Amino acid sequence: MIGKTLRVAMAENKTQVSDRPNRWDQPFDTSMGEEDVDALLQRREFGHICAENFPDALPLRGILRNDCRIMQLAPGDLLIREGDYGNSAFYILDGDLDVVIQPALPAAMLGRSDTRKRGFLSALSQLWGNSKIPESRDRIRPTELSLSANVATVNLYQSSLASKIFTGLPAADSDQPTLDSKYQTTTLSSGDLVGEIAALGRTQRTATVFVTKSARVIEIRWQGLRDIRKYDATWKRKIDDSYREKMLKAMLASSPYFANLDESTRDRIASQVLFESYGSYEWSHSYKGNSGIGTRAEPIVAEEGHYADGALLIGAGFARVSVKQGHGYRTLSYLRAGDLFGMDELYASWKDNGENHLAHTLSALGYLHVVRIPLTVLKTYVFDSLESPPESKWSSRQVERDIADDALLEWAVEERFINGTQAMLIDQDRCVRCDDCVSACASTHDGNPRFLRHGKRHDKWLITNACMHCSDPTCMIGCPTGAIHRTARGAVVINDESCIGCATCANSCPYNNIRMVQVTDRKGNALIDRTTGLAVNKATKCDLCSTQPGGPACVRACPHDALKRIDFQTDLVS
Amino acid sequence: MKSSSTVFSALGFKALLSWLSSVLVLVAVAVAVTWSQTHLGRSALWSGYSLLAIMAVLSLFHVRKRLSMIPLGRAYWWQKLHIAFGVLSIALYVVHIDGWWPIGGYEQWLAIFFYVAIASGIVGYLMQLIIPGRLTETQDEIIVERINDVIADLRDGARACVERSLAETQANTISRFYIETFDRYFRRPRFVFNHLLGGRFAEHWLANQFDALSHYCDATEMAFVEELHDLALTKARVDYHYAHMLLLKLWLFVHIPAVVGLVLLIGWHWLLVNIYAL
Repeated sequence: MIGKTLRVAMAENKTQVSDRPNRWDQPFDTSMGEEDVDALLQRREFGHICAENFPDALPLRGILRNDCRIMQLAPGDLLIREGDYGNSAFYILDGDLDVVIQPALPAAMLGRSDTRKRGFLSALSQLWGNSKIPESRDRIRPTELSLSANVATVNLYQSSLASKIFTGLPAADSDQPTLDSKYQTTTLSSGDLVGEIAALGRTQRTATVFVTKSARVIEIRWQGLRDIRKYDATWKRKIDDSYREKMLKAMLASSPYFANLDESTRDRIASQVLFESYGSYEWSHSYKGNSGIGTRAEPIVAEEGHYADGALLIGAGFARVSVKQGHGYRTLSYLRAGDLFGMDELYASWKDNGENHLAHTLSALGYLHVVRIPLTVLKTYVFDSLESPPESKWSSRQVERDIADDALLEWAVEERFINGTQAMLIDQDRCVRCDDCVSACASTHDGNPRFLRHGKRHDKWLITNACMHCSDPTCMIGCPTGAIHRTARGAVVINDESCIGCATCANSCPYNNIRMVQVTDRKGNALIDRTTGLAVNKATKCDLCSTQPGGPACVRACPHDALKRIDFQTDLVS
Repeated sequence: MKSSSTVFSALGFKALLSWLSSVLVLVAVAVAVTWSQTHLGRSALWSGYSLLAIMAVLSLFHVRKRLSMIPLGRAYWWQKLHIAFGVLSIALYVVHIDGWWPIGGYEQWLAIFFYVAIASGIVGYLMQLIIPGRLTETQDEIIVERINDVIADLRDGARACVERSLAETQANTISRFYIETFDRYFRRPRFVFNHLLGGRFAEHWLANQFDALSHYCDATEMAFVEELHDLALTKARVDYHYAHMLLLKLWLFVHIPAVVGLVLLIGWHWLLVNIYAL
């Protein structure tokens, strides 16, 4: 379509000469100047980076100027919130920051909603207590957070909860407060790097970091961090060591093939693996415009027929396992964090002393982070200890199933619905379109349904526009207040009070499952922002009835058993 | 071929339980009635109160729909119970009145409401088996509240197509044909009954109309005719949806009033029995 439009425009001589869009057309922070870059290069950690190793198109100075920004933080400012997804790492220039180790700070303090289940009577009271006015609110501002007008930073000391957590609040001249002794913390200081694993590995932040003394940090967005790691051996070692220590060991310990090894063996394996990433971190943006990209456009991680030099452990993201079928590829399965590829084939070739070629292709769906475990490592430490030969869940699928049997899987992978852990699937052959599911949803959300009973369809299966509570929740990246978060039970929810209506999450959701709504007061009066004069918006979505007793009301309300919440991996592939 | 375990799973354990419980209730009532008759008791009381209890359970299905916010079990199992107890109520009713049709005038009104409720229930059960699949087969999914908007959009598209054809071809064949034939077609849903019966009259009619039109059109006009044909076929699919959705909505206006009327008559019947018969 685009190509055709372009050809027509060129044929009609409707062209205009312009500069090609560049990566740094939009710097991370326009206020970063050459003097800031010079100051950074004066510091040991940046000064020691060998600028000659960087390609001409990607100079170190360019990365520092365009992919970094300097942040001045005040005591109490929250830098990293536990449970958030973020795409930046932070390097501390001056000052001290505290990391809360345990217990975690209260949810309300971090802008999170209270997801305790309602009692029976409280749930029943919704029958008469729900508002008749759509999207009306008692309160639109948080009670526990203080949000500045422009940047929604959170200052813990200004929270009313602070008195419960800090034994002494800071004085006007910003003395350091003392955290209640039950909170165990550790201090980070100048020269420390924090948040790099979550940024590169696309995982949740594992701890809360806040400022105790005035501090200056440099925020490095993931693209810059990735390139510095790529071209500088010291930073690569530092980040990789950190990844090995914080993430990899836990991953190996939870994998069935490595769990039975002793810790020192696992440490030796961890020290010899390689880290690789494929695809685009911001896949959700390109997905919206290019739905239906075929497998051939996906970055190939390991190709059918090629020599297998190691097993691939998925660290983050999704990968497609496929096999050549005529002029295309047939999808046999997809893998996600924790899954292993190639183990069965490597084991078989080792056992039989046979040829070592892959029988399947692995390609990246969007962003993919993999850990490559070399064959020599597997031969030395793993294969001998296995009680039974490894078996992949897709190896027999090709033979046992007709091509048509996998149409639903192909579609789900193509549309990236595999990301969902609680996708709402409606069997249209059973659904009488009575909308009891929508009514039930409204009855548990103050009269406002939180999903639309339409969406993409394959055969008789409809995936509705309801939040799928993704395993790779792109919506959670970039929320300035932490309003959107994952509950302990795995649901992705939005705290209505701390949502500032910036629509970052709604724009990031590749499936259009988050809706921005204009809110009113309880009398139905539109709420207008005093500063901008614009209507106050809030992001809304399915919360999986997190606070309701009995689970999702939509599932319970369907009289025809047509509606299910499914995880494609467990409900379709397995 | 499904294995027996798959069939059992498809039936569902709780559905089976519903049928089993209704059979048990029936057997229990039959035993009680027989015992009552052999002991010169009032056997109609047993069957009557059993019927009253069954009717109460049947009515609770509607109450459960209103109480989605509390965990009262899945509506699916309630519906299974509703169906099983609905069938059971027929047997109990026959036992209660000792036949298929009562004698008294008031009781005959009660019987009419009962049979309408039962018959509409059976029709509803069949509809829920047939209609969803039919709608799925159209490949379109239209929310019923939006059907009028969709038809309006199609009408606007058709009119725009006709206006463009008039401007570009300087021939009035298509516009005249639209005014004479298609204006009416695009105004509101058509061939509703035929759609409900599963007929394909709409497509047949459209094929005939466009066949007639194409005799008077050159190649340039035919491009517009084809565009119009596509819009008309889309409209036929929307009408198909409308017809079935309308039937589903109308069904509620039969079953629910019949049940409400039945409950009111049962209340009065219970009162009369307690005042005059006992």
